Amino acid sequence: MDYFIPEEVLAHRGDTKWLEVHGEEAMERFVTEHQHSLSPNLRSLFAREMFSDPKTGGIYARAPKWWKRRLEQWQKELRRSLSAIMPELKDAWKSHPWDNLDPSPPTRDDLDPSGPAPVVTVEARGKSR
Amino acid sequence: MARWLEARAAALETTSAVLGKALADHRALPIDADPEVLRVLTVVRRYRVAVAGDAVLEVADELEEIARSLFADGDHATARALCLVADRIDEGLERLAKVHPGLTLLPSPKDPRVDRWQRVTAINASDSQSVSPRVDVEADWALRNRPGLHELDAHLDEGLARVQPAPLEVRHRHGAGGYEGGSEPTSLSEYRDRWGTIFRRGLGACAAVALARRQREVFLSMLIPDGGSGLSKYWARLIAWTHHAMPPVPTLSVFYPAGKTHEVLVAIDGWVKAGNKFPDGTIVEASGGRLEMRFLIFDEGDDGIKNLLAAVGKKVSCDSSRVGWAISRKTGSGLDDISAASAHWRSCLDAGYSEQEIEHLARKSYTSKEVAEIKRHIR
Repeated sequence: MDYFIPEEVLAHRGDTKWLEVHGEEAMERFVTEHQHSLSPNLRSLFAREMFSDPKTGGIYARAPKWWKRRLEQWQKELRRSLSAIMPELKDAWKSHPWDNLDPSPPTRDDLDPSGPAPVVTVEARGKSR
Repeated sequence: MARWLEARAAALETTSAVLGKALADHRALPIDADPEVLRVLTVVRRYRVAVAGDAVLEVADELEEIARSLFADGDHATARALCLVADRIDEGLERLAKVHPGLTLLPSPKDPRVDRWQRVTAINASDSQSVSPRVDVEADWALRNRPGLHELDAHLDEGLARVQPAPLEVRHRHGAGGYEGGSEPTSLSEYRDRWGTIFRRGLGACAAVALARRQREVFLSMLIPDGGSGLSKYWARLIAWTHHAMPPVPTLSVFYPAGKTHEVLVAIDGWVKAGNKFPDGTIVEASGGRLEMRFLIFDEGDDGIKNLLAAVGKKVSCDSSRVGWAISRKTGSGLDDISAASAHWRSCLDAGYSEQEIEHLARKSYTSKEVAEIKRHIR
């Protein structure tokens, strides 16, 4: 089975800023257009295609925040539903309290484009030989 | 070798006895003693437990070390057997840790000693050309040892040997897999990736295999076992972050007892024939003739996993399960064969394959017309 994502959407593959604003709508359009197909998960297919980093191949490496929030929610639901049939999974995939600290620092995409451009400074200290 | 094993067995016996004694002493803390005395006694006895636990782990580490040397010499069977013994020791300690919460019996979850074979980079690939919507897990299982899958493994090893000069430590397993709603004979290759080289630089080799066999996507995943404390997730997120591959996704392996393979496969086929969609996953042989069903749980659509496990569970009870986290990279595209080939082509180029070499690979599974179209896509 072949699937079709319009060129104008594919052009924004890995473009987190665009996906943050238009990604959800584009995903739902893709799902509606392929509803007749037997594929078990069209959203996953769209996400793997559009949110992966084309340079590194990292899956969801360029995912927008709304998708990451959904993932977190699904993972919680998954633990609940699987532990209903396999009680030993009650404590599986636990989060750590440090998770609340969010280890990922802000990226260029999080910055306000209208604000001042980030500056990199280099300071050399100590005696030169 | 026999003498060495005898010495390790004796060491295991001695260290286990010392650990047993240390745990018994900790259990027998005089709780009605003076609080200051009790505090000091607790610290000392806890320390003894930690030291005794380390001594037991050291025996398991020695087994792993000799397994690694045997592996390098080509004796895979003995290496696997020794790893299994080491895993048993880890499992024994894990059981003790559950009975004695708060005591240090195990290294931290990120320590590579925990689950010695699972801390690997895993690659899932099939030799069925393109995507088929049919599901017949039983038939696919019967075909799991066909030459095509062995050739695929060899091709993958050859490509990965380019990026890692040290001898590859690999376990190839064959079985049946689910992809895009269909099933196919598949191969799951697990590489010990001590320095992360395979995960960092191995995508080109995966793309080369995919291009030669007309595969849509190949997933290269780093697996991190879940230690149950939450630290594994935090650690997985940090690794993912350093590899620009956010965020990690949960993995689940469910094991069924030896001798029940046929029943499990029939149960899966029956469930799919009843109108259910087959979730993406891999079914392979595990140690001791057991069957492992393994899932990388990417998102909500994987609700089917729960329903499938419940349906199989009505026929055959699983004997254990294992959870973890996976950080994944992929090459290819799920949209169509030409988009997939173009993406593989680019991955090969990034990995340093020459144009000529890539075209030679592509011609193995694409027609001249298709190769021309792929080239147009690239430009």
